[in-house]
Order: sequence, then C-alpha cells, then structure tokens
Amino acid sequence: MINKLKNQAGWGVLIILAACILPSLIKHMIKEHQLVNEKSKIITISYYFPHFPYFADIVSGEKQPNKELMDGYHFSRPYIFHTYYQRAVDLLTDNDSARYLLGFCDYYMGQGKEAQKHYEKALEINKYFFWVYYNLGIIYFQEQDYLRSATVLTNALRLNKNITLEILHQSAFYRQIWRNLPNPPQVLESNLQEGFQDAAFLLASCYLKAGGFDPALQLVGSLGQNQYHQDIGRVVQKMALSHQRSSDELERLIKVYIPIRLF
Amino acid sequence: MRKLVIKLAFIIPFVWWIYLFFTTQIIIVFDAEGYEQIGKMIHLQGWHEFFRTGPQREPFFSGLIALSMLLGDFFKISYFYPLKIFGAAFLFLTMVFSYRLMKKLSVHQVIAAAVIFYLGVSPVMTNSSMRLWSEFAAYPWIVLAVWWTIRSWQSMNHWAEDRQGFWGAARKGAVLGGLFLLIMSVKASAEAILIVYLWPFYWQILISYRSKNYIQIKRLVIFLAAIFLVFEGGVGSYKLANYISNGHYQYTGRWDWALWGYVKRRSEPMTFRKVEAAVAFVPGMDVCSKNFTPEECNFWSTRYSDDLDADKSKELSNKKLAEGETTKFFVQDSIRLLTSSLFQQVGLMFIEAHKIFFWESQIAFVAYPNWLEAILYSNPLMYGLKTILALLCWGAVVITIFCLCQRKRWFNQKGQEQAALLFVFNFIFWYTAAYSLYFIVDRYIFPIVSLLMILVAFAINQIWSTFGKKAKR
Repeated sequence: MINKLKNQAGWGVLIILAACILPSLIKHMIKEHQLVNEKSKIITISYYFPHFPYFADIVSGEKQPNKELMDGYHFSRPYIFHTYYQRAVDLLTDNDSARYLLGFCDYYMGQGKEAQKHYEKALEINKYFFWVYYNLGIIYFQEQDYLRSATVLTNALRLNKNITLEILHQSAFYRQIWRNLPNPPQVLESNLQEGFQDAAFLLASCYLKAGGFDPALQLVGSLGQNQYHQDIGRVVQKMALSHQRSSDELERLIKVYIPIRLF
Repeated sequence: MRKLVIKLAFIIPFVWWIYLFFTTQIIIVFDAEGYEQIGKMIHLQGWHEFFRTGPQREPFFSGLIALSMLLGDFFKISYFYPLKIFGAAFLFLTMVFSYRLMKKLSVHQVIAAAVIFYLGVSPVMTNSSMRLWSEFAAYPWIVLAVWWTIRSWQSMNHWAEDRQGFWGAARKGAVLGGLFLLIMSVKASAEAILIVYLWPFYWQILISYRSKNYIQIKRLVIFLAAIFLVFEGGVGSYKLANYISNGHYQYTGRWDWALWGYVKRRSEPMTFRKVEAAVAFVPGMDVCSKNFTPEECNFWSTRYSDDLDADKSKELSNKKLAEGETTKFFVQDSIRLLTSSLFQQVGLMFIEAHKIFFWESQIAFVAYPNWLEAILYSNPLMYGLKTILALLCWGAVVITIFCLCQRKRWFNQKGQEQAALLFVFNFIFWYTAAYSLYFIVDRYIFPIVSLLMILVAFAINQIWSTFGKKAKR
C-alpha cells in the first residue's frame, strides 16, 4: 500500500515537473528553431568561400578575369566564385552585392544575358552603387542599345562617389574581396575615379552614335587634363569635330580600356 | 537495476533526439547538393530517370531522400523532418543491434549500457544521423550483418542442434547476402569487402576437408553459394539496369579515376618529412597545418589527388579515348603503380588506416542552437573527446588482436565468444583496408563506429574481469 502511494507520488512529482518545464522548453525550442533557420543560410554560404585574393588581384589590375577561374578548383584552390554567389543569391534574395558579383561571374563565363539580368535586379534593390550602372552601361553598349546605355550612364555620373565607397565598405561580400588588397582605400578610390571617367567616355560615345557631337565634346572637355585614357578622349574629340558617328578605332579602344569591372 | 540502466541508455538519447529534431537545421552543401538533386529526380521523375542519367550514387539513400520528399509533400512540411526521423530510427536500430552484438561478446550490461548511451548522444553519431549525407543509412545493416554472420557461424559449429540442415544454411546465407546487398546500396565498397570478409568460412571448408567432414563442407558451400547468389544477383541486376538504361555496366560511376589519383600520390618519391606530414595528417588537417607548411599538408589532402586525376582525365579526353578505354587505363595504371612501389604503398596505407580512430567530433553540415554550438565546437570538448576516443579505439583494437592471437579457438565450439570477436574485427579490418586503398575521409569511418565502440566495450570488459579476478584473489 505504502509502495503504491510512493509510486503514485513519484509519478505526481514527475507530471508536475513536466508541466512546469514543458511550456518554457517548447517556447525555447520554437525560438531556437527560427534562429537556427536563419543561421543555417549564413553557414551554407560560408562553405563555398572561394579564393578571394584572386578577385582582389582583379580589382588591383594585377590579374585579368578568366573564364576558367570563375568556377572550379585549380591547383587545389577553390575558385568557386559563381557557385558561391549563386548560393548567396538563392539564400539572400534581396542582397544586391551578391547579385552584382554573380553578374560579374556570369559575364566572364560567357553568359551575358544572365549577367544583365542580375545587374538589373541589383539596380532595382540598390540605386546608389555606381559600379552596377557602369557595368550595365557597358552591356547595353555592347548590345548596341545606345539609348539605354546613355540613360544608365547619365544616372551613374550623377551619383555621389562617397556613397559608392561607403557601400563598398559596408557590404560583407565586397569586404571579403577588398580586404585582400594591400591598400584598399587608395585602390578603391582610384578605381572609382577611373570608372567615372570611363563612364563619361562611354556616354560620349553614345552621344556620338546618336549624332550628339556637341554634348560629346563638352563631356570629354569637362574631364580636364588628368585623364586615365587620353587616347579615347582624343579619338572622341576628333570624331565629334569631324561629325563622325562611329569608328573602328574607338570601338577597339573601348573594348580594351572599358571592360566589365568588379569595383 | 541493470535493466533500468539499459532502459535509460535507450530513453535518454531518445529525448535528446527530440530536442535536436526541432532545433537543428540540415545544411545542404557539396555532396548533399548532389544527393538532394538525385532525391528530387526520383521523387519527381521516377526511378527510370535515375537509371537513365546514371550511373548515379548508391540507390538506398537516394531513395530515402525521395521517400522523405514524398512524405514532406503529403504532410506539407520540409522533407528534412521525415529524413531526420529516418536518421534517428536508423541510429536507434544501430543501438539495438549493437546491444545484441555485445551480448554475444558477453560484455557486462553496465558497460554495454554505457556504450549504447554514448552511441546515442555522441556528437558525431547524432550529427551524421541528422544531415543529408548517406552514411547513417548503413549503420544498422553493418552491425546486423556482423551479428548475423556470428549467428550463422555458431549454428555451423552446432550441427547436432541445427535441425534446419541444408535448408537452414541456405536461408542463413540468403539473409547475409541480402544484408550485404543493403550495405552495398549505401556503400558500394561492400562488393569488395564481402569476398574477403568471409575468409573464416573458406578456411573452415579446408579444415572440414582435412577432417573429412563432408556434410559440413556441403552446408558451408550451400551457405556461401546462397550469400553470393543473393548478393551478386542483386548487384548484377542493378548493374544490368544501368547497362540497359545508360550503357554502363557499373554500380556507381566514380571510382577508377579516384583510385588512380590516390595510388599515384602514394607512388611519388617520398622523403622523411613527407611521411612525417602524412602521420600528422592522420588526426586531421588542422594538426598537420600546425606543424607543417600548407604545401606539405596539401600533398596529403584530397585536393592534391583530385588535381592529379583531373589533369590525367583532361589529358585522356584530349586524346579522345573512349570511356571504356579511360577506365581500363586508370585501372591498369593503378595496378602498375601499386606493384612498382608495393612496400611504399602498403606503408602509406597503414598510416592512412589509422585515421579510423579519429572519428569523434568531426561534426559538420548541421546548424545547431548557439548554446549547443558553443559546447560542441569548443576546443577542449572537440579535441579532448577526439583524443580520448581515438586512444580508446586504438587500445581496444590492440587488445582485440592480442586476444585473438592468444586464444586461437575460433574454429571450435568452446570459442564462440572468440569467433564473435573475430567477425567484428574482421569487418573493421577489411572495411578499413578497402578505404585505405583510396583515402579515408572522416565520414567513411562513421559506419564502423558502432563496431569500434563494441570493441571498446569488449576491451573494457576484459580489463575489468582480469583486474576483478586479481582483486578477488
């Protein structure tokens, strides 16, 4: 009889304990479940970290983008940039930086249409990053859609450089790349300066194509003497003065000096 | 009291799994991506597509993912949840079969309970059972196959009591063949392991021949024939299905080039420093990189051999060789390299084999709650557990070899416990040998962790009983 009572008391204590603990345990589990779900996205991306120094070398101009090195393993190093940014885009759909970088990979893997799609989406998400406009301007120019190219490049030249630099500093995806540079602020600023000039040259070329010789002349003139690519400036001025809409020389120079860039 | 301990050893891990079931998340990266795609393919397009686009990975786990997806769709939940339930169920079965196997080895119940409990809460075992990698699907079948082999072996040595006669031998063989077929459907290496794993039965045929026990020979032959009939029948049918659907008479399609890469690496000129790096690589890349340069450690990583075979594959494809000829080249050249540097190859494989002891704390591909992650990834726990269990497993294997050599009673009726020990060790040995020929990645060890832990239980039991007897004297 006593044993039976003891047994029942034991069960009673167990049930009371469970009743006290269970609600808070369930609450804890629901909270943890949500947190872990978010965390798993970041962890998933981190498994695909590529060899970022390669992209840093592209930014500093030491190396050129290579199709072979956009997605794969070479000499035991993971050059899985495309996979990495694709994963990032899949999991963080509203992240403009990941989309922008995926567009860069796509372009050099020969998928121009895909690159354009990603750049356009990145622009939709963030309208203040110069390099998206720049690259999109080049793609439209290559597609001979000079009107859209001119529109995008005009918007690009209106942007505040400091905001672009701030975005580069803030975004984790850009930071992973530029932190491998020997002197990040100097390289980023100098590249941005060069990018603005190149965007202006490209816009001037769009003006020429449309017969806007005076605006083209004005735009190139506004760049002053310290030009990164004086050859292009000279050719644009010459073409504008002689009312020439296109020339093989200009096409060649644009192809060589104004490529799709990282930042 | 002992029964309560055993019950608790099963119940406490179960409660732990419920917590993990709701608070962890599977991370889909690397091979898991491939598995997910295959599972999706089977789920949406059926097995026909699986064979048409093959040879694919082993079918059992792929089918399990497809089944999880089906259940997920039915209950309108993520397929991760049914998959985690399968993982926990497989781990539970492993614990049950391990307990049965430890009974065969006459392990004390408290020691058996401790091992069962550890298998249920071990970071590696729980982690590997709740992620999208195939290994956990092999856990219970390996333990069950070893247990069934011991049972068959014991009945072969008790003819007088075995009333089922030849039919019984055939039935036992068919079941064992079926179990190996299951293992093969998760780990294709089972095909090579089975042939050598059965050596005690071949040996027994010889012994029976010497003693002119023709009835026993007949039963053994029937037993072995049933094993190979079921196993090779299943494997052959699967290969044939692949051949009809995609033109490849293969089980899986990723072994020849990998073999060549690893053999080629081992055949390269060695220096004392390189061998030292190989030894340092055994506990893990992090141990190696603390003592050697990245290049020295990289030499022993999969990446290096992958680069070797990738370059060779590229070279062969440039020569426009047919696929069959490429396979032929890789196999023939692997054999040439193996035989031309045999001692070096065996020595390095021996070093490679030691990786099986460093299985604990190799957790990955699951996101945990922060508090749990802080514990699981803390250095003292990770390296402490890893070192302790490596030492325990190594010690257990040494004691097992010592016991097997000291009391050679495997082939008589009194040595049944000894025979049980022989088969547990036998499986571990051939499994390790098969993978040492390639490269032992931590997850390849997980299917034999339960067997290693059974040896640990046996070794502790031996020490306990030896010292207990001395203390009584």
